Amino acid sequence: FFFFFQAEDGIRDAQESRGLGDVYKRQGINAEYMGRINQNKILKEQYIRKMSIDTYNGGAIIGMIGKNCVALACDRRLGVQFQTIATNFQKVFQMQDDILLGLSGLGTDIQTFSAVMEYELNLYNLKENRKMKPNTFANLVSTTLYSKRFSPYFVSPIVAGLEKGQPVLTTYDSIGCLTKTEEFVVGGTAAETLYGIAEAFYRPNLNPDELGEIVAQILVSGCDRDILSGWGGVVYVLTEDGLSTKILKTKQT
Amino acid sequence: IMYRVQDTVINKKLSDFQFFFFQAEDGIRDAQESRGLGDVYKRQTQSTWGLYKSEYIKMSRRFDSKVNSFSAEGKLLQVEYAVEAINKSRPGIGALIKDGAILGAVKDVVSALLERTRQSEKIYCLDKNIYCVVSGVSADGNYLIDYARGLAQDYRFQMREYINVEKLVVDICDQKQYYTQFGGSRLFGAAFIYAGYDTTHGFQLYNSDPSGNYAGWKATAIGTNSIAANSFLKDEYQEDINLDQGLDLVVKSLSKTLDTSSPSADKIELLVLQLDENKQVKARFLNEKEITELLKSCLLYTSDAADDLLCVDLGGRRIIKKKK
Repeated sequence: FFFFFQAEDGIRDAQESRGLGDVYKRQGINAEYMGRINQNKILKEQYIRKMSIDTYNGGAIIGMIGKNCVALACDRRLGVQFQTIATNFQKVFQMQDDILLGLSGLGTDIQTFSAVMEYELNLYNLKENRKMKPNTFANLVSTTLYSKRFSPYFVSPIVAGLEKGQPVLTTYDSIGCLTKTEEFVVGGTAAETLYGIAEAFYRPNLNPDELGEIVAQILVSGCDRDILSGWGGVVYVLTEDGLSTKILKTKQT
Repeated sequence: IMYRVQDTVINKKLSDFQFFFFQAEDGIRDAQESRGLGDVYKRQTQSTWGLYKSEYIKMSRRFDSKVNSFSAEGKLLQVEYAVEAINKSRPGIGALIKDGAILGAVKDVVSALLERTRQSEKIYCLDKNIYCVVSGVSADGNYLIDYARGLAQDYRFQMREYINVEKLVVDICDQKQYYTQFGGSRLFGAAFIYAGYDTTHGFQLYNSDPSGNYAGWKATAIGTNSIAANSFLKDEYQEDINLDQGLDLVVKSLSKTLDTSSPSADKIELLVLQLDENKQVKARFLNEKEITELLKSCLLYTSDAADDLLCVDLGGRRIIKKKK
């Protein structure tokens, strides 16, 4: 919806329908209400913001840097708007020993984009006969997203890695704008809540155990307040010794 | 038609080309692409009859220079020549063992000046579950290897699982076959032995040659002296051998292909493919020390003449008894 009106306003080129039309079809009783909304641009924008393609499946991710370590945590919910479909949906992918890719956004794009990056990484390993450095991978994510500038992957990735013992943490918008950080990043429908909690609890130079604990607390608190995220969590902590994975049990709502 | 062409060619050189063009312009026939046979007519400067006869003979021998034409005897000579090129190239060998596969190769050049740029010179990874040895024109081999790697990743992207070994072999062979029939380019002068694992058929071994033919094997050799190596394998190979027996067999077979009677570890590459505890394929290149150890028992196997002897006298330096 959002995209079609933008096309009519001439702000942006018309986007192909992503097949999400039925999102609106089921609202039989709201048809008249929708009619009134369509006529009022302000009402339309307020209504539309809740139906965005970025929030359709819901989710929450957070990445944080510690002392020679980095953590990446995500929730486990896959929903269709307010209905919960799955509680074991993978959103963080270990691309290499020292690289984690966390994705929030549209579920199908999470799966496809992670497969695209795996494809690129595998060919790189084979052809260049070496592993990809985390910073290189972070750049590759940016350029891959940008190559689909005009029909984007609706994901907000976070790349977490360790390059020569130094933590790497980057985040992007869905068309590849890369931001490197020394502290923490958040993403998903719970982002706004997560920002506040993370800001309050973040400290630099946390050791791996502390880091994992704090990131878990932030994630759980953030997801509690977001109806579209939660149903469990997974916390990954990457150190020079390897990757540790912890599955969190949360409120089942 | 040939006769008519002869007439016009003798009198007016250019008009033989015009002959075809007029037919096209007259709308009788569609314009034919030049088959590259233009030079056949260029050399006709002598008398008609003698010329006709000698040209006919010359043209039949000219078939071997065109990849996509059969010879008068029904052969594809370019394919045979390409296969011959492999038989003059550095050897490669593969063998299936009870719980895996072994690939071996002889390196091209061992020079003190060479700077090693890759882990292996002749054994390449196509995807985590498939490796290959290449024999022949290295550049052609490298092209096909990159092509195969792309195909394997395409499959993985679409199906979210590793490609089956035979499927990848067939895809590579399709590419090789293409160049024996279309394009007007030469064939790929590369032959491969593939060793890989999939859940459908377990560990498998295949080879492919420049024609695009392939076959599955329990053990096979390609390259120089492959006939000697293959006949040695045929006699000595047994199914369900363990890793040590397999390595022993492969190294002995490789020794048979070498020109020297004292093979050194820096000339040989060996790769072992097995499953780890998580049922994932793990590949391991043997290091020089391990290969040297394996070669110790091979001094006796470097020539066919030594097969029948119980011990070999290496010119007074030492006498080695075979353990059998």
